[in-house]
Parts: sequence; structure tokens; C-alpha cells
Amino acid sequence: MAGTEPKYMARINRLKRKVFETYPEIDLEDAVILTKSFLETQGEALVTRKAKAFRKQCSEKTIKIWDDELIVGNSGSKIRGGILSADVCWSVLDRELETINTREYDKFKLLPQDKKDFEEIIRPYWKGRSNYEEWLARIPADVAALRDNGALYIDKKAVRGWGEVTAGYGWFIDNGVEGLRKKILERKAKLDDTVPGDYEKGVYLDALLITAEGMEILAERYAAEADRLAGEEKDQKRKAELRQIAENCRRVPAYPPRTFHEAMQSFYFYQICIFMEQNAAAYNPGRMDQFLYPYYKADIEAGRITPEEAQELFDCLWVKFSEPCVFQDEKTAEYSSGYPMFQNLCAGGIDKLGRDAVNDLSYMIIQATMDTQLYQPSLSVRYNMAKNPNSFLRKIVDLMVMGTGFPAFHNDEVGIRMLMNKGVPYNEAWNWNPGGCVETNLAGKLRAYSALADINLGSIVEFTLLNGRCRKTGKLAGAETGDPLTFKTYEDFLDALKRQLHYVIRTTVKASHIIDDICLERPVPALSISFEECIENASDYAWGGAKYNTGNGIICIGVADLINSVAAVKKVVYDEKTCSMTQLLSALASDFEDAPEILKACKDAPKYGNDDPFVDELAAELFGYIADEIESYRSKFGVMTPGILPVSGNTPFGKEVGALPSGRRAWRPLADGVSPNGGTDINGPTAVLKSVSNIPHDRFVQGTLLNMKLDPQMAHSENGVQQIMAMLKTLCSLGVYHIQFNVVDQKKLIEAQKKPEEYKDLLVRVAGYTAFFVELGKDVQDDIIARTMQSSVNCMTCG
Amino acid sequence: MTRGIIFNLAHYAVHDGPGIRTTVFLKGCPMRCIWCCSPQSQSFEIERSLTNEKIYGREVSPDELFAEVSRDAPFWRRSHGGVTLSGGEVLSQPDFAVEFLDICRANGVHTAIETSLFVSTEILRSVADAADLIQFDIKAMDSALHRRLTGQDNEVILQNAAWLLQSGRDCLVRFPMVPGVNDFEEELRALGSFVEKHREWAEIEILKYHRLGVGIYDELGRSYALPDVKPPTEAEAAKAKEILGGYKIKVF
Repeated sequence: MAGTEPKYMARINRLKRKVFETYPEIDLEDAVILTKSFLETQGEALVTRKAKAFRKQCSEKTIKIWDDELIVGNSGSKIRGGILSADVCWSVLDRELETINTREYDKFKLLPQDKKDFEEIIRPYWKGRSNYEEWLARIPADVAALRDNGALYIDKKAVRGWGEVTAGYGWFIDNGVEGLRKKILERKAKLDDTVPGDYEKGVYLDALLITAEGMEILAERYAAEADRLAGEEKDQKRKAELRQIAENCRRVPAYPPRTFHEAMQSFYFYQICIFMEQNAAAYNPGRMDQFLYPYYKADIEAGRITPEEAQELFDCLWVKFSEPCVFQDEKTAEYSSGYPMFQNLCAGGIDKLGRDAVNDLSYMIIQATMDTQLYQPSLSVRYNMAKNPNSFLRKIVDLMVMGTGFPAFHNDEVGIRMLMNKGVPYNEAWNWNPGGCVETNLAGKLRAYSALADINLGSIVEFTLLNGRCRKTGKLAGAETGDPLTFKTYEDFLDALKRQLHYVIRTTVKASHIIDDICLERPVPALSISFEECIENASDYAWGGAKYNTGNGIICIGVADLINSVAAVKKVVYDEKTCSMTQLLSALASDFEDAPEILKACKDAPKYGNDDPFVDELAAELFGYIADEIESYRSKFGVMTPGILPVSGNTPFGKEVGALPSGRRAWRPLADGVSPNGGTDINGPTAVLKSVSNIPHDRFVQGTLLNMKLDPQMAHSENGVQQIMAMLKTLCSLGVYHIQFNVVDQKKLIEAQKKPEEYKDLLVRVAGYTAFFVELGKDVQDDIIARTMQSSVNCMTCG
Repeated sequence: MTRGIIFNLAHYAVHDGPGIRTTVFLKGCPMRCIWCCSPQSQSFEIERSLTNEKIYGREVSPDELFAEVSRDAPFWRRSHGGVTLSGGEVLSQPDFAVEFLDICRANGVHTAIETSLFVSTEILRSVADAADLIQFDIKAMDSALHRRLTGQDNEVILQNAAWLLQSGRDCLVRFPMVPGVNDFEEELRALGSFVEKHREWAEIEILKYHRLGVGIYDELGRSYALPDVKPPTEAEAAKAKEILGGYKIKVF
């Protein structure tokens, strides 16, 4: 790449350097303004108070435009700030006030002034009032037992805002705030305050109007700041850029954009607004190549922009995506480390009429990640094998082999079916987008927590073999499904395992209902304003105002550990009787220390990931059962939804689970996503894909995640690239939903671990996202290093 | 059906013919190339490593083998790939190879073989007729050198190569380049003119010597004959390519 670098990269490199060189800091300005606003609005409706607090943030927050920027805006006051949603979870910071900069994952600097503000303004007001405290007060004993014994991770939603959503960006941009205001006023005009319910609707619509006003104030303040800087600027070129920025900010988001640049600025204003409203991960931009395309096309046709200028704007936006750092508590950071913003942005797919939707912007979006090589946005592609061109697939592979971990490759047909399984008809499901890691979403139409709770499948195996007890704590946490010594047949064992699954899923659903109830008190007018039906229904996103609502996502972690453990018990204890159940239990209790021959038998049992029907049929049966179980429950918002996406939760979950019959030693990480256990897949990538295709992907509607590390050597020749393309097409034929490649060699990772200072820019894919390797905890790093390296056979003929 | 003996299966093989292929390595070879990267391929018997941990070789029928490799069929279809028979020496188990290749053909699967051509032309013809692509090595042109390097004469090999190239069959010539051992300029020139003479614009692939199989010699309690040879450098490979490029052949 070097040597042929386009001219605009000089600016991009300067912008990037600023991000690299800035250490993440806690940013409490928004929380302080919110708190002051709440002190002024006591007695008013909660949604009104939220809206007024938002407007006050827009009116009072620090406005900064940094050197070289073409797209402006910042949710807080600091370039790499972690902002706190005080109303949701102020107490998280309270617990970590002294340790936030020394904890293992996602450290933040906390300046003395911020600490003082926290102690004097935030804590005194919010003590006893946050959603998180409410959750801690209400959590049932059986849920807490699962959580505290490492079988369930469910606090995530109580420690940050909504997120996990794709706002209606296109609708927002196209209408402009003024257009939305008009719709809100029209809706308001239909209300009759003597009709029950209309008063509340009126209050809600007024809150939306306050929010809209806040957005316009914010944009005007950016315009004024750009003008001020332009006045001081000596460099004529930069002066003109600043004047342009000012003009853009006076136009958008208030009105529909006139240019591509304005459309992109409007998008980013909205992005910072919803993040300001609630700190959370996974505000997913979604199908940007679709909603920005009309603006690009008009500019090109009018000769207002060149493709290179548009590319520069994309690259500038990509740097903006990489600035904010999600703030989360220590535990949650452990489960998804790397300051993961999960702003999942997507290229490719099909249009309303089922036609190829790939356009020039689809390629430029991929190019922007190639140019910037940053950890945000989380770049995804919807690859539709029937409709998208080979040149698009080629571009995807060109990026994959650069080793940034992007893009996440999604099989479009399966994504569409997942949306339909969520209850969205095809006439809208075609427009789906990946969100967060690999979850499925629909812009401006769909509400759910896509990853409410993580279930530890390693614990399920452990509970089955210890009659409901956790090995680490010795406490009863699961169901009492019987002493395993009484399991006469494999069917007895499998039946007990299924009853454990049933119990844990059922308990999780109960907890989900409580969180749903708490979250009714978490209205988000800034987010809701881009949901057409939230205006139409005069009902917030949090209350089910969106067009489609679905039950929360229940996520399974340790897929391969479960499958391989069941296969090993079947093979070793019941089929071949290599050892008795008693001997197996004793071997597991000692972490195989006293029983090397049983460890060997366990390890030699068939392993998932090798295209071996013995174990792959178990995978199909078990995950069919899990999907059946989860789908058998409803919440007030719809059917509960299964998914398989570990973020980095497989590492901390592993620390809670002792030795497993699969031959996995105690406290080691579990397998990630639907991937095989590291080191157990020995037949290459084709066998992995065949095994993985036994999971019923379409039914795990919150997505399934497959990680594969790929030796970059495989892509060094044209032939190698062509075969990766063919492999991806085969993945689609097999009905696998997703794959992402870590195209880095282990040597490089080990070196990066030793000399982090020299590898600041090394990106790796950690489950559903990409992070700077050196910012990850050591055990997550070790896990990445240990994953099986796939490589092709390159053997000289031996005639 | 004839049972064959094989020692390995490679999935996602992308260097053994077009597309994504499943390569089957047949066990047993009449030659003893001093650089051989798979010593376990040479004996026609099932072998064990010294530690008894590994077993090299198993018997299969053509039917069983086809069922096994067919698990990769979805990848063949998307990549225009197929199955490659390699070795050892495929042509040392001709009946098994032909029966297996016939099953592939009946099922519409593209086939390739990789061979040393050290076999009678009659046998070669029977196998070549059953396969879609024939990839063969020419390891040395000088017969004395060839004998020293492989233990066998190259007369029949060159006769077979000439016949194949003239026959118009889909062929790929491969030259295993072992620095300082068979990559002398006169050797390369002899190779270039030989191939050009029998088919203009035939394809030649230079296979760079590698040492990936050296550990297996230890496992089998054998010693490796080329401890000091290093894989060709980029410059050495480019030079060989340049020399061959002086002929009417396609080199890659």
C-alpha cells in the first residue's frame, strides 16, 4: 500500500494518530448536566425529564472541533471519553472510583475534577435511584445463584443503556429534525385530552419535541464554533473547510441534506445524540451504503464531488467512530473487553425487490476500513451469493487478508431468515442488518435486547455430572437431576443434561421479565425519534413503541465444550466403556491429574470441527433442543430469541468451570461462538465449516459466530484468494451464517504480547469485534494465540 | 474391488489442481528421492513411528474412499475443484486408482493425478484415460544425476512425458527445485528444450524445495540425506524461472 497512498491519507493519518495517542478518560460532563437538569425538573414525567436533560446537555456541553476534521461532533467533552449514564448505573463508577485506572480490562483515567463532580453532584442525587440498584434489589435467589456460580451473566443490561439497536438513520436524515417535528405535531393534533391515554401520549410527543429542539441547538453550537475557528484560521484551505463545516451544521440535521457531506454530518450528529442519551454498546449504523447512496449519486451527477473526496469523508467518519470508548463495569469489561463500541456498519445485500444492492459506496465502505485500519466501525458485509457480484466478494477477501479482522462476513439469506423467524415479514426482512457482533437488526423498526443474558454451557455439563452443583464453589446452583452414577444408559445422561438446560433457560427467562419491567423506566426519546412507529404510536422504544418487538436474546457460550463433552461421555463411558462413570467423575475432580489414561480417552473421543458425523449429529440434536427450549417462552414483547455469540465471555466463563469430559482442563477458556475448541479441529477449514453447518443457524436468530484464524500465506497468490472466495460461497451453500478471519500469525501475536509498545496498531478480531491486541487482557491474548491456525496443504509432489 | 493403501487425506488442498481439492496420498513408491518430504509415503507396508504413537497407512476400497472424500463435495462444486490422487506413486496402484477415478467420473467429479511417471506406458495410459488432469514431475534430465537423486533411471519417465505432452491431454509439468542439487543451468535448459519440443506452451510449475517433512524421518528412525540444503531464495527461484522462460513454455 505504501508508496501508492492517496493524498488524502495525510489528513487521515494525522486524525488517527490523535486517537492512538489519547488515553481513554472518564468523561462526566454529560452526567453532571443530566443530574443538574433532574434537580430542576422534579415532579415532571420521567420522559419529559429525560428530554429536558438531553436538551440541557445539547445546550451546555463542551463543543470541540479538532484539527483536520471534516465530520464533527462528540458525545462528551473528551476525545476518547467513557461517558456515564448516571440514571442507569451511577453506582458502577462508585464501586470502581479508586480502581478504574488499574483494573485489568478497559482502564480509564479519572481526573480529580471528575472525581470531585462525582462525589459532590452525581452520587448525592442518584443514590438509590438507578436501574442498576433496582435490579440488584429485585434479582431472585435462583437467578443470583446461577450468576454467582458462574453459570449465567445477566447484569450487562443494568450497567449501561439500551444500545443493541439500529436507529432509523436513513429516515432521520431524509426527513431532518424539522420534518420529524412536523410529523410529531400532526400526530399531536389528533389527540383529545379527554380520551384516556391521550394525555400520556401528549406528554410523550412533547418530550420528542424537546429532544428535537436539543438536536438543533447542538448543531447550531457546532456551526458557531466552526465559524469562530474559521475566523482565527490562517491557512486558507482549512479556513474554507471550517466555513463548509459551519454551513453543513446550519443545514443538518435540522433539514434534509443537500449534499453527501451534509448527509454524512447529519448521520454523525444523530449518532452522538443517541450515545449521549445513553452510554451503551452497539448503536449500529447498519446499511450506510444504502441510505447515503442517493446523496452520493446526486453529487456525482452534479459534479459536486469526486469519488476520492467521498472516500476521504468516509475515512474521516471512520476515525470519528473510533474515538468514543464504551464505559462499563469491571465484570462486563471482562466479558467484552477492548472498549467495544460495536457500531456495526454494513455493506452489501439486496434491495426491496430482491435485486443486487451493491453500489459504489459498498466498495468505498470497505476501502475506508482498508485505509484507516481502525477498530471501529465494526464492519460487516451482507453477502448475497445469488445476487452480489464476484467483484464485491473479491473486495471483501482483499480486506479480510489484510489482517484487521474485518469484515464480519454474513450469509445474507440466513440473515433474512433470522429476521423472519423474529416475526418480521419478508417485505421488511430483506432490509436487515447485522448489529453488535453478529446479531440481527432492522433499522428504525425493531426493539429487543439482542444479548440479554449469557448462559455458560460448560456449567450445564458440570451441573449434570455434579447433580446441580458448581465444582468451583461446591454450591447448589443448577437443578438436581440425579446422581450420575444412577445413569444406566447414555439416554439417562442426556435426559439429565436436557433437564439442566431446561432449568437454566427457564430461570433466565424469569430474570428477563424483571429486566423488561425495570427498563420500562428507561425511556429514550432521542433514539425513539427515528422510529416512525414510536411517533405514530406516541410510545417510546423502551415501552414497545417500535413496529416490531421481540423477546430478549439468550446467548449460549461454550458450544463446542458442550458438544464434545456429551460426545466423550457417550463414547468413553457408554459405547466403548473405556472407563466407568465413577472413574470419569474422579478424573474430572482431580482435573485429570491422577488419570492421564482417562484424559487421553477423553481427548481421543470424536471432536466437533472435524466433519465427523458421530459428534456433529449430537451438535444438531443439542442445539435443536436449545432453540426449542428458548423459543418456547414469550415475554410481553414477543418470543424469546436464541443466539451464539461470545464476545469475549468464553474466557471469564471458562474460569468458572472445572475439567470437562471433552478433555478440556479446569479453568481454561471455553470455545468461542460456534467455533471448535482450539487445537481440536485437525482436518482444516472445510471440515470446520461442515461441522458448523450442523448447528441450526436460522433458528439462532440473534446470530451465530464463527472465528477462524487464517494463515496469510493462503492469500498471497491469486489462486489462494480465489479459493477463499470459493470457500465463502460454500459456507453460504451450507447455510452457515457468519465467519470472520483472524489473518495474523502466532509469532506476531506472541511478539506483540512481549512488546506491546511496538504493536499499538495491531488489530485482532475478538469474537464479534476487533480490538487493539495490546489493549486486551493477557488471558484473552493467550486465548487468541492458542486458537488453531488453519493452513492449506502445500506439499511438494512426491512421485 | 481392489483395495488400496493410502497414508493421508488433505482437505482444502489448493495447490494440487484447480479449485479446492481433496488430495489422497497413496502409499508406496518405487523411487527414493533424497529430498523426499514424506518418507512415510515410500514403503508399500503400513508403518509405525518409533514411539508407536503414529500409524502410517491404512487400506481402503475405492467405494469407501469415495464416500470419505465426498464429504468435501460442497467445496468442489463452488470452486470447480475435485479430487487429486497423489503419493507415494499413484501408478504403483493402477487398478485401485482406475477404479476410484471411474467412480469419480461417474459422479461428475473432476480428478487429477500427481505422478513421477515411473511406470510402463501401458499402465500410464490406463490411468491417464481415467483422469482429467495429469501433473507429473521431471526431477532431473541427466540420467546419471537422476539415478543418483532418485535411485531410478529416467528413460521411461522421459518417454512417458513425451507421450503425454504430445497426446494433448490436460497436463502440468512440475520441477521440484532443490538448490545446488538439481537446479543447474544446463539441467534447466535441458528441461526447457525437452518440454518445448514435445508441446509448445506447455505449463511448468516450479515447486520450491521445503523441509516440512524432515521430522518424520526422525519418527521413523531414518536419517535425512539433505541436512544442509535450504529452500530456494526468491532470487534463485527467479533465476530458474528466467532460464525456463527462454523457451516456448509457460512457467509459474
